[in-house]
Parts: sequence; C-alpha cells; structure tokens
Amino acid sequence: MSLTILTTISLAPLIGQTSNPSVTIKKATTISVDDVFKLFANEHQLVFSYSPDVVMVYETFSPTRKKTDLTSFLEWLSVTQEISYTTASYPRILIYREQDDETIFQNNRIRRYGYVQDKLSKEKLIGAIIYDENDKILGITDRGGFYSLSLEKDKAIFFSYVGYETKIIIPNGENDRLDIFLKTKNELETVVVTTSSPKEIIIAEGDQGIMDIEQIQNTVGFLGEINAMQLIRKQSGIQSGAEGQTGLYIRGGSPDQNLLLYNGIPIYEMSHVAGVSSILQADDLQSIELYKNGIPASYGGRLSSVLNIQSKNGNKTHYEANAGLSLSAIHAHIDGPLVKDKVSYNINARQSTVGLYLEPLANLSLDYDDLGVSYYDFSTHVHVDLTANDQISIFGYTGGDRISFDTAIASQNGDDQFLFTDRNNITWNTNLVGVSYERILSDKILAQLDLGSSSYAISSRGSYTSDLINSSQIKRSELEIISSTEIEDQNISLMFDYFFQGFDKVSIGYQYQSHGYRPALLQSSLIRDDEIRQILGEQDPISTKDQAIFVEYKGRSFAKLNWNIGLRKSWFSGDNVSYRNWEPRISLKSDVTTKVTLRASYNGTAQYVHMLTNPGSGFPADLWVPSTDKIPAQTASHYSFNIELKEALLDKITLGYFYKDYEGLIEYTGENDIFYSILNENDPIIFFENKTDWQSRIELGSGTARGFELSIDHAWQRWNFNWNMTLSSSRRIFENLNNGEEFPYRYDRPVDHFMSLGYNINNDWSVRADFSYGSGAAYSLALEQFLTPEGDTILVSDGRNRQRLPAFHHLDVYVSYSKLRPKGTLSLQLGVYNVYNRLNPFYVYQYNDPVREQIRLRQVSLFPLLPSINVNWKFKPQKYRVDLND
Amino acid sequence: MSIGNLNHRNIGSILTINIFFKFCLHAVKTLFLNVNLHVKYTVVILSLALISACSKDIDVELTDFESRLVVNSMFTPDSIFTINVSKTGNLADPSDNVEFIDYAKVLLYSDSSGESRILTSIGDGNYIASTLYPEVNVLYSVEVEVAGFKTVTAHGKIPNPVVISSVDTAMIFESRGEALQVDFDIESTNESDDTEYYIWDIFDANTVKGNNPNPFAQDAWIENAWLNTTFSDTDFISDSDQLQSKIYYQNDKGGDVIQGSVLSFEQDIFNSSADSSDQDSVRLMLRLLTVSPELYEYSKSIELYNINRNIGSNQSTPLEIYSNVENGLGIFGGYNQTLKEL
Repeated sequence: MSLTILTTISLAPLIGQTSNPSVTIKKATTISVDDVFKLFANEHQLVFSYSPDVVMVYETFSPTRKKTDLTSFLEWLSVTQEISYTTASYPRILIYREQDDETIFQNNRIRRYGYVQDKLSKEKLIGAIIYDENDKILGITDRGGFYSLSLEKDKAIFFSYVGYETKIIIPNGENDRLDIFLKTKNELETVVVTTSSPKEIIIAEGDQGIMDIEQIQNTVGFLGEINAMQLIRKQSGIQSGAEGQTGLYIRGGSPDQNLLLYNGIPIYEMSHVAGVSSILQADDLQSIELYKNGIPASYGGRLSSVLNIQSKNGNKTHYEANAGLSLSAIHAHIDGPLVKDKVSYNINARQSTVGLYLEPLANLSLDYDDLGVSYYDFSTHVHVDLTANDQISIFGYTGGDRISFDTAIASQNGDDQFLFTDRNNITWNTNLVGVSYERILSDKILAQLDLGSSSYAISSRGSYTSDLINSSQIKRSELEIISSTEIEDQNISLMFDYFFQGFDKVSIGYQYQSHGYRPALLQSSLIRDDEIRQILGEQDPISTKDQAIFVEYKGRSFAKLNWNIGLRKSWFSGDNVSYRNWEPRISLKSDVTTKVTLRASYNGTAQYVHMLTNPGSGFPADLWVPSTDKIPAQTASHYSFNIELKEALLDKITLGYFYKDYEGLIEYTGENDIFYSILNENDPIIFFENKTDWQSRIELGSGTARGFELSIDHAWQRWNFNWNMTLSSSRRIFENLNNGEEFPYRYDRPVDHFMSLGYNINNDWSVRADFSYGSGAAYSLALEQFLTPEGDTILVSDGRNRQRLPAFHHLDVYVSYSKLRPKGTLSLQLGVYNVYNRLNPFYVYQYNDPVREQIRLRQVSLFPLLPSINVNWKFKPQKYRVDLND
Repeated sequence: MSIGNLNHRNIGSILTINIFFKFCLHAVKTLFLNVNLHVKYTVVILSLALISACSKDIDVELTDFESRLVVNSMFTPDSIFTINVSKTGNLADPSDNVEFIDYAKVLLYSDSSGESRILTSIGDGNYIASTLYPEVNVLYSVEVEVAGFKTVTAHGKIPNPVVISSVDTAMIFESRGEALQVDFDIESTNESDDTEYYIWDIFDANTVKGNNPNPFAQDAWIENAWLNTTFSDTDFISDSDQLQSKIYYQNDKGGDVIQGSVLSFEQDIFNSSADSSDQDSVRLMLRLLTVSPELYEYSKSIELYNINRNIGSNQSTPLEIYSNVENGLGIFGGYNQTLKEL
C-alpha cells in the first residue's frame, strides 16, 4: 500500500471571502511556492491541500506584477508543475495530479477500512465523518469507530471529528486496512468552555444522530452537575423538562417508549432523583446516539426513540484521572492502560452530596420533614484488542437513587383539629454486566456480538395518616400504598455489516431478550414498619421472550439522496400467547443544495412491555408490565418530515412536522385507578391478587401525537444563540374512559420552548443563560358536584385530563471558567437555577379539610432558586504535560 | 512487577482525596477573595436563599365551567314515574351550588304507545306522572328543558324479572370462624338471549338501614359479607364485582342459554350475628334486582365512588360516574326487585 497524506496549511477559522483574492509581492522578487501559500493563508485565510509528492514547494516564483492574484498563481503552478487544482471547496484549494487516460480506465477504486481513533488514547471515534473535496460525505464511522469505503484512487478524502484536527489522505495502491489516528486540537490549545448551544450537535440527524461529546461535557446542568440529559432535553420535539420529571417525553410519547441502551444493553432508567442528574457520567461517555425519528431497523422494542450510550474503552497509552465536586455530587474517574496499546480500563464513580446540605436546610426552612435525596453510580469498562481484527469489551454498571419527603397539613376550627400527614418514598436501582465482541471478518464484513444481563427495580411507597382531634376523641385513619416492579433481563445481539460500493452498507442481525417481571401493587389500612421486600414476599416472575431479526440497507444514490431502509420482524412469547409484528423503517435525506437539506422518515414499531402510570395528579408510581393474552403489543406508525436551512439569515434553521399513531395503549380503568381509601381491613390488601390480576383493571385504547418543531442556531462573534420550540398535541382515546371521547395524554405539552444565549468573554470565561418553558401537564380534577337519587353529593370531573397544572418555566444563569494548567485543566462553573424563584408544580392533590369543611387543592414543588458550584480538576501525567511557555 | 507504565509516580498523579479537597478550597478561596466584597456577600446570601415553603394551596378556576342538568329516575313497575331534576354546582365557586329545579319542562315519551306527557312538579325537583306506572320491556324516553341549560334526553326500560327458584342456607366453618353459606338459583324469564344484569345483596330486615325502601341504598350492607362468592360451583365472582354492599353480575347467557335456565350461586357470609345461636335477632333477606344496563353501570360506579371517596389522596383520579343522560348527568333506568327471606 502506498498512501499520500496531505499537508494542510491553515492559520485561522475560515470565513467566506472573494474567490480571487490577491497578495502583494515585490516585482522581481523570487519567493518559494511555499511562501506564497503562506501569504495567501495569512491574509485571506485560505487552505492549500496538496501532497508533498505532487507539489514542489521550494520551486521559486517570480511575480510579474505588484499584486499577485490567486487564479494567476494557480495557473502558473499548474503549467510549471503539471498539476491540477480545484477551488470547489473554497476557501480550501486542493492541488493534485491527474492520472493519464490509461490509468483512469484501469480499476480506479480501492477499498480502505479500519478504525478511526484518538491518536493519544487509542479510543475509537464513533461518528467521525469521512468526506471528499467537494464536502460530499462518504461515510460515518459506526458505533465501534469502524469504517469501510470504496474510494476513487488519488482523490483526497478527509477524516473529521469534532474537536480533532482533520486528516487528509489520498488513497492509491491496493485494497488495504488503514487505521486513522486523529490528534485532538485540545492537546495544544486552551480549552474554551463553550456554551450549551447545541449547534451542529446532531450530525446528519436521521442518518446517525451522534451527539457532540465535547458539548455534553461542557453542559452544566442542575446544581452544577454535568448532565447529558439536560442537553438531550433541549432538542426540539423532546420536552425540556418539568419539575421532578425523570423520563424522556419525545414527540408525545411516554417515557417507557424510549429504548435506552448502555453499550447495547437495554436499561429502564437514566435519570436520578427527579431529574437532578442522570446515570450519564461525562467522563465515561464515548458517544451518545439519539434517534427521535428515522430509527434504523437494527433497533427495536420501543416505539418513540433510541438513546444509545457508549462508554469509553479507556486510554491505551497513558493514565488520566479526573475528579470533581459540585453541590450535587462528587465524582471521580480514572482510565489508562493495563497493557499498553492493547488492554485499557475505565472506572467511574459518583456519589451525591446534595442531600448533605439540602436535607438540613429543607428541614429548617421548608414545609418538608425529613427530605432525603441521594444517588450513586459506579461503572467499569475493560477493553482488549485481542488481535488487529478482534476486540472485546467487558463492562458493568451499578447505580440507584432515593428520594423521600414527608409533608403535613394542619387546620383548626375551635376545638377541632385536623392533621393530615403523608410520607413519600421512591427508590430505584440498576445493575448490569455485559460483553461486546467485534471482529473484522474481511475488508467488507464486520461482525458484532453483544451479551448482557441486567436487573432493574423501582418502588414507591406512600403512607398517609389523617387525625381528627377534638376534646372527646382522636379519630385516626391510615393508608399505605406500595408499588414495585422488578425486572431481570438477559440479552443477546448478533449483527453483521457488509460494506459494498461507495457509501453503501447492508446490516443483518438477530436479537433475543428474556425478561422476568415482578409487578406488584398493594394497599393496606395499617402502616407497617417492614421494608417493601418483606411486605411483598416472594413473587413468581412473569417470564417472556422477545426476538427479532432485521435487515437494513444504508446507501446513497444520485441526486444527493441518502437512505436507510430496513425491515424488522419481531415476535414475543409469554404465557400461552405470542405476538408478531413487521416493522418497516425508511429514512431519507437529500442535500438539495449545500444550504438546503430535506429529511423524511417512516417508522413502524412494536413494543411488548407497558408502563402503567398513576393517572392522577399525585406522587408518581410506575409499574412495568408485559404484554399478555389480554394485552397485545403497543404499536406505532411515525411519520416525520423536516427541512433544514443553512446560512439563510441565520446559521441553521430547522422546521419539522411529525405525526404518530398508537395502538395497544393501556391505562388504569376509571374505578381502579390507584386510589386512596380508608377501609376496615387491617391486613395488606393486594391490589393484584395474582401476577395477572392487573389485567382486569386496565383498559386498551389508542392515541395520536402530532406537532411542529422549530430549531434555530446562530453564532455571531462571541455570541451564540439556540432556540428550540415544539407545538404539539398528544391525545388518547379509550372506549371505556371519558365516555369514549378523546382526551389529552397526561404529558401532552402544547407549547415547549428552550432558549439559550451564551457569550464567550475570552478564552477562559463564558456566561450563559437558559430559559425553559412548557405547558403544564394535564390532569383530572373533580370540581363539579351533583346530587344522586339518594341525595348524596358526588364530585365529578368535567372530563379526563381537562385541567392543566400551571406552566413550567425557569431561567438559569451560569458562569464558566476553564484554564489549562501545566499539570492539568481546572474548570469552575457557578450557576443559579431558577433565578426568579418560580414554584413549578411537581404535583397537585385535592384534599378534604373536615374542620374547615372545604375541598382544597394543594401544589407541591421541589426546586426553588438554587445556586450551584462545580469545581473540576483533570490530571495529566507528567509525560503529557504541556509547557505553556513554548 | 509493573503493568504498563504503572509506577509510584503515576500513582502519585492519581487523585487523592486530601490533595483534591485542599486544591478545591484553594481555588474557591482565590476566586472569592479576588471578588468584590459586595458580590461576595450576595453570593453567600444566595446560597442560603431557599424560600420558606415549597408547597402551597392554590386557587383553581374552572374558567369554562358550565352548570349541567341532572336527571335522576330509577323506575319500577311498582311505583309511578318520578323524575328528579337538579343542576350541578361548581366546587370552586361557593355561590354556585347544587340546586333542585322546580321550573323545568319534563316530557316523558313511551315507545310502545307513542304517548307523551308533560310531568307535574311537586317540589324539591320532583316531577311525577300521577297515573303512569312504567311497564316491563317498554322503552321510555325523557326530555328536560330548562332555560339557560342545554336540553337533556335519556332512554331506558325495565328488563324482564328473574325468579329466585330456590334458596338454601347452612352454617359452615371458614378460616375466620363460622359463616352462613347461602345457595340460590336464579331462573331467567327472558325469551331472548340478551344479556341480563343482576344486582343482589343480603340485608338484615330487622335494622333501620335494612328497611330503607330504596333498594340501591348502600348503607344496608353486612360487615364482612361477600366472601367466596361462586357461580356454578367453580367460577369466582371477581373482586371488581363484589363490592362493599352489593354484588354485580352480567349474565351473558352464552348464546345457548334460553328461558328457564338456572344459574347457581353460593355465597358465604361471615357475620357474628349470623351465628346459629343468635339467629332470632336477625332476619336476613336476599334481594335480587334485575336492572337495565345503564342502571347497572351507574349503580356500580356510585358504589365504587363511595368506597373510594377522595379524602386527601395524592394518588387519585376522580372516578367516572356513569350517566346515560345526554348533555347532562344522572341516571334514567328501570329495574325489577325480588325478595326472599333466608
């Protein structure tokens, strides 16, 4: 193999200029070609790309006029050195040598394949873009950092990855492997803390939605924590959050409809304690893939979206450590080689600290008693390059959280006193282990095998006591409601990628999952001290299996049309029941011009698990249940269309429309919602008598979601601005609910905004302001009263989910500082969440005050104005430290 | 042994808690000492500026609240037609209460005779047709007009009665102690295979509540009743149909079941007062109602509502009360009653 690596001269960010600029060179002066290149680069920010084998840079040039224009110079060069050039990618000038006709007609395509990696750490770079001199994208590295392309000989191609210097090669010779090593720009430059404006954050959305890790790592979230979920929620079509909202609500879907993957292993929860943080530790992230439409056929099992997290393999050449302290958590990270260039590890740990100060402060100044907030994460990853063609990863994760709080209401009327207290507790934890093996079978075939085992448990417990006290008696009533779900999964996934000509790739695969579900819902009129596990006792799991095969064809044709077309066949088996579904997928993208991109997609999806949610206004209680003979799969048809405009007044404007159709949705029946009653029994009353009794307490229905999305990104001088807005409607219709009439989905959000304005003060300091706004969640409220034939007064609602919580909105301000020091990098973020101290509703509930003889509505909020501070120090081993005086 | 580049210097580069915390304190101290004093105090105050309450009572406005008419009539062949009309009230507006309406125009229509008549107001929202006794299997319609409200309509009829063809009782021993087991058979008189709707309960006729003339009243229930109710010796009545005061059952009749078929039920009542040694103080009655489907759904939803009356839950959704009154609320349905002493 021979290859040519081009030299690129570039001294400054490129800005559009006139296409025939000139430089001043004294007449009769002799100047080298290399110096002429530098003059044009300095004065006009041009980039000359050429091979040293092609251009003799030391040849001298004698200008005939005082001013030498670019065209004249290039013409001179082409004549004297018999080269060709193209300015198609102005201000980048590509200089090359044409092949003679005989050579052209020979086999002029060769294949290059391999991994794109970080030069220092040897981490695989997922989502690196490969393009030609006309900026035509030839390929994108896959989730393993692998590429395989059929390329024209002697045509330059560029390997680019955000935060890294672009590498250019001119392939010639025979088919051969070529691993590309990119150097990070940050090796020599001060780290400039960017804002959270997600400019260019999604590369080729709909093709492959890779998020910018650098931007994620600079996204300061709630209480100063780096939180990737914050950045994800800022995309249009994704609800920008709500008080205590933990799941992702994407285009009218519910949180259970998102496929969450950790290194290819499905998990059920990604957020911590009411959205304060997420399991995504910034130092652990290698890539985040997000699809809210155009979901490839290789993903399945959920209806709305895919969020695939890949953790880092670890640095194979040197150790790096990072530690940080914020008002929400303390975290530590270390990665490095076990065997240099062959075996690496990556360890991350985080423990919340928010409870240390929030709990005592809340107990002193808030209505809460015993507020408890805590979470933790621990992840490990070992990666081994077995051979040049084989690699294996072994990884594990454990994490969980707990939020609890007690509230009390008291009222008095003369001698009568009423005291109502409730104690609330939610916990969850996830444990998983997995193995991922990848092998390059040939220059065109890549095989991947993923194995995993995971367990997930979530429980919520509400204990309620009401005391009516007067001079003669104390009347006490108690109630406890417990909901709990435990899920154990085993996963196998096998996939083959076949790369054939040009951009095209075909993938086929098989996926298998076995599940064991233990949902339980209990209530008791006696509050017990036992732990939930003791109360529930041993439960037999509900066992089910999901399987799927898929084929996916990703390609490009004439007319700049990219596509990803696939078909997935999934089937489910449970107790005496099986379901099968065909899931067609199509995603199209067309660069109509360099400034206009059109995208359209259709997803047919199926899901064999449901999450039953508390439909009322109260404390969340989620229950995961599988499909059964009475509850078929959820299915959805999702249509999406958007248009992207670049450099039309603003840097980027995206307009989109989506429509979704759902079948197989479930809701608790009206009379069997999670309710609260004082009964005369003292033993726990099991809401679900046996593991399938819950089926008799739910209704089947359907739904629709539709909406418009607008996204604007713009940068001007030191300013940058981002605005994402979604106007949408999400409705449900159930024959036996709401008199069979359509009603809003609980998380219907007609208006959702996110705006971010940032300013880079200098290379070290930046400020940013974020504003989030969302319509309040829909809920049912019984405020209409009427008389029964018996003369009793009954309260009814005027329809399901006809009321709205107050809108959710807050303004956050952050100041960031980052400085490269000789021994590492110091980062500091100061922020204020909810600057104007709005009490956003977490939930509301209705209660009857018997002393005042009044029905009252009470709103519970979680987060008032909260300052934050995050200090982070990233160590660099001595060998890799930079002398800033050089 | 060394693994790669592992040596004491690299280990020294790895974070230690002591060094890290010292550094953080130094960084924060440097930052704050270099900041204007006023700003420093502002930052300190902000750090402690948590508000005094994160929960509060809020006002709820039903901006588009529109009061609706409520029409209630549960008619039986034994009584003249009586229809009660009232209006709904807004809980959020103390000035907008429930009220009986005595100035409505109430029109009753009989499907079999084609006759319609305007009912007479007798006060407290009641309207009667003094000489009209509803008939079995005749579809009746009512239309109520009141100025300022949407006109409401409803339809209903009295289903065919069923016969309690046999009743047996025996004392048995349950895990909780002695219980009264009641076996009874129901015989349908309906020639068609339409679904029939039964509501039954067992009450003590020697109590005040037990003598309530309203068979749908829900306060006559016997404590701890409705254990292990079975149908045809094998199938349990589900929990969702065994409520606090009554049991609800839909006889779908299976297509092949015809007039004269018998359904057998067995029910255990655990009640200390049903003890064989104390029977003289108790006069148990089995009451079986055959009801129209609307009345079945309504009665069940009302009983569930009363069981689960919301008194402070933060886990609840308002239960939906069934109504067959178009543009309004309430119930217009017929029933037959059969009583048997046990």
